Amino acid sequence: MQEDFHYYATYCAAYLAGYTHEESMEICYSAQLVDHFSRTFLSKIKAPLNAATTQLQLELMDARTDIIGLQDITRIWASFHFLPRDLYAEKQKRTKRYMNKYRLICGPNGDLLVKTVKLAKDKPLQHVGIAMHVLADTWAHTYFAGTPSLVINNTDDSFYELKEDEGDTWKKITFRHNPTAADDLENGLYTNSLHQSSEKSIMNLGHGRAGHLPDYSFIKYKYMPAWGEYEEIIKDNPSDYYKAFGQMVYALKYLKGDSESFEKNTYDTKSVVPYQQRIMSILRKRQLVANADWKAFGEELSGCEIKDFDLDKYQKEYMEAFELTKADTFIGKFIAGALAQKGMVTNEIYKSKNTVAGFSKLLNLEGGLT
Amino acid sequence: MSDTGAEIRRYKSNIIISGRAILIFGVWTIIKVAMSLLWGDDVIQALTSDFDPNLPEEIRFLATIVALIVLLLIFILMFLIHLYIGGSAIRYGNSIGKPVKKKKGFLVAAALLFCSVLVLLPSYFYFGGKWQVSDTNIASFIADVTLLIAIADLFISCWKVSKIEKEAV
Repeated sequence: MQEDFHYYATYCAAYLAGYTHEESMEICYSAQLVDHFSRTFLSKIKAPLNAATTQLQLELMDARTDIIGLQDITRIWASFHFLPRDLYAEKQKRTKRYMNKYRLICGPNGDLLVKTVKLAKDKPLQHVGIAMHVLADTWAHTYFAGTPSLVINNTDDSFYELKEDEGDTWKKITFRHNPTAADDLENGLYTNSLHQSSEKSIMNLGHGRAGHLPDYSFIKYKYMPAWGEYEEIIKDNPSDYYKAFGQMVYALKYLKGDSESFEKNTYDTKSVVPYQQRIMSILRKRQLVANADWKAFGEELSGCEIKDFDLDKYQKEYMEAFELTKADTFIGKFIAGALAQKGMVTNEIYKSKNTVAGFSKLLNLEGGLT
Repeated sequence: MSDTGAEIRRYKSNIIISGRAILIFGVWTIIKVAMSLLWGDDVIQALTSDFDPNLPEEIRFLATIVALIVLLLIFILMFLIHLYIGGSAIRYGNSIGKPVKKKKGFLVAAALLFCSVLVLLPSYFYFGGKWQVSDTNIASFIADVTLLIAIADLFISCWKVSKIEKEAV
């Protein structure tokens, strides 16, 4: 997902869940910060590099793709952007090596999502924001895995967009490999990553082969993923994003303490339905980013101004704090949340006897799995 | 229905890939000939070894040129056959699922190519009454076996698609 959903829509969800304007701002800021908290940023503010929640394109270009490098990449992307749905999924006639990656396929309503939300319970708002980012991405990034893998993340060029205004016809999408050109929605021209036949190429990380399609809320499309054995997957983004929003409100109410439990496949329709038409009109509007629409909606809800996301906002506070008090700053709390989330997901992947994300120090110390 | 759709897509992909493989083998044929002419020692000698040694030099030279031209024409013909089969297979694959007439004549040419390659396979190792095993012969043998597999896959996929389409009707 993009800033329109991670920042502004998360604000709206937080406010609908009962948080104040200031609390909602902290939550949505943290949710958006997940997409900026790279090692480059952490180096600049002299923060621990292992708290990174994303990798910039330039960082990925220099990333190693040996076993250590792949584990590092997987720990970041699987923990924050492609949360695995089922670490114990089964598929016939596949090697262990294949299954290790197949089980990292992202999807909503997995057990790890429940653990992610519960991990943020009774924690600072920064942890809540991180959990909301992860939750939202489970809907957008469904069917892709947060590890470089040709056999999982590759697709071919048979992408078709459903044009409801043209009599529900499927129109072929044309991809081009021009990262500097914006996607041309009118003519159906989108950018995606180049085909790389190497299994572990960075180009085969996440949804690169599908371009930005998963992050556009308006689009309904079908395609064939490499893992799908020629089955066509239909991805209905407006519907998925609406469910993501409803689930965020439900999760936020749980984290606020207004709800006793967080269950899978549950959405707070009661709070969201009064605004359904408004939300769906934003989601279905054919535009590259929906920042303005979500911002307007959020400001109508709260009556307060939603300041635009500013990456520099909390840097000075963190950099000027004494070592012992850094943990109490905004970024300090965010770092704690990021480390907790990464550790939890890495542990869970390791517990499932999958070493694609590396070894878990915690389990080794306890003398668990060898 | 979705299973049938997935099957059709799978075999369609197989047909297109086999078509591309046959095309590439056609190009490889030309490259092989060019390489043996440019860097092979015995090609011209092998062509002219049966000529009468008493023939005048000009006649021998003319006969050598004619022999080379005939050899090149044969290999160009082979390339064109590969091009026809491969191109037709790709067109056939792309037309699956569309309401257009599908031409399957290329399968006859593919069958002839399959038989000719199969029959000539042993000659890589046993030719002119003697055994000859070298690394280049082994490599060429493996390449031709791969071509046979591609053609066989093409047949099987076309048959499967026909079967599914008939069952769907």
